[in-house]
Amino acid sequence: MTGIKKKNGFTLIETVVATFVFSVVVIASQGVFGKALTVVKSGTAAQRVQESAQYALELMARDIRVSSVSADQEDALCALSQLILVHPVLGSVVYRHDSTSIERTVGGTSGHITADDVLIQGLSFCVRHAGVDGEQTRVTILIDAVYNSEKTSEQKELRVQTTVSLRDYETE
Amino acid sequence: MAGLLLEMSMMTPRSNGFSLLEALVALFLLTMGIIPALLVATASLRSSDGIRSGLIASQLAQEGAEITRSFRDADWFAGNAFGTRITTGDWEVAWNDDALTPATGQPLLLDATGLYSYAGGVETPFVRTLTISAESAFEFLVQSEVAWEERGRTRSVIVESHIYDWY
Repeated sequence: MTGIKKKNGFTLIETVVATFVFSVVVIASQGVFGKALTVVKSGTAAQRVQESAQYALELMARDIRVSSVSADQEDALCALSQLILVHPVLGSVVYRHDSTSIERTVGGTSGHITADDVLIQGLSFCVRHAGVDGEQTRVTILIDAVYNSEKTSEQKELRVQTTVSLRDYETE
Repeated sequence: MAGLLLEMSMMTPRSNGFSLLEALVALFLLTMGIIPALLVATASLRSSDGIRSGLIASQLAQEGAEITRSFRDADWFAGNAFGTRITTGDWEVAWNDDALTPATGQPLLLDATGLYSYAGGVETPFVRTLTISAESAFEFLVQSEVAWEERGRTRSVIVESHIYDWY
């Protein structure tokens, strides 16, 4: 029975106090890590949106720059959700807003040019001075994009705009 | 808690547990590890915010240069001399303008359509200024600058475009 009387174990109160201290530390650090994780997630989401928007803008600007735009597409109110270009090499190139992404159609083949995890809320074009009016045709592109996720509270909408002046010197 | 620990140490005179001081040091070290991790995460979010503004600003700056180019083209189509609608100085222009107007330093406004212009909408931090200088009788240098305030610092993107009279 001498083995039972030895006192080199933990008492109940020691165990309780240790558990209490441990849980306080864990809960505090869990909050910090959770916060860090949320921040990293929203940073990554913002990057995804920016990548897609920048790629789409660059691609559209390149195509528009060298193409010609028909006079009937003149739109100073930016309500145009589809832009039909006549490209010197590719022929007909169509850009349109396909509910969640931007669709590019070349020679009858369509494809999305924005990532699936990026939600394109809006794509519209303004066309100024289309047709023969003594002014160079200008196309303004408007993109409204967010990250496609259920957690919309921490979302930052990206609204970006650029204008492209056509290099079309034969139509005017 | 210190009293409790003291009481316990009186009841059981052993010294092979953790002291309060040791526990505090361990906690301090743990905190020193966590704080930088959080700072890095926050910094990455800030930089992605900065990149976001940079992306919008660079597209707006590019817009300024493109519109100026279209004025050069219009002079050609109208048979005007090079430099009729583009002249040296500091200018402003909106997406639908047909002429440059003197720079006022007013910020661009974002309307419900998503248009950045001077016509109406919510004020944005972006200020666009076109600085045009004559490099020669047949070349203009257009510097389209978009500047904005970011956490007390002024940042800017400049698009430089050389416009020639080659037609």
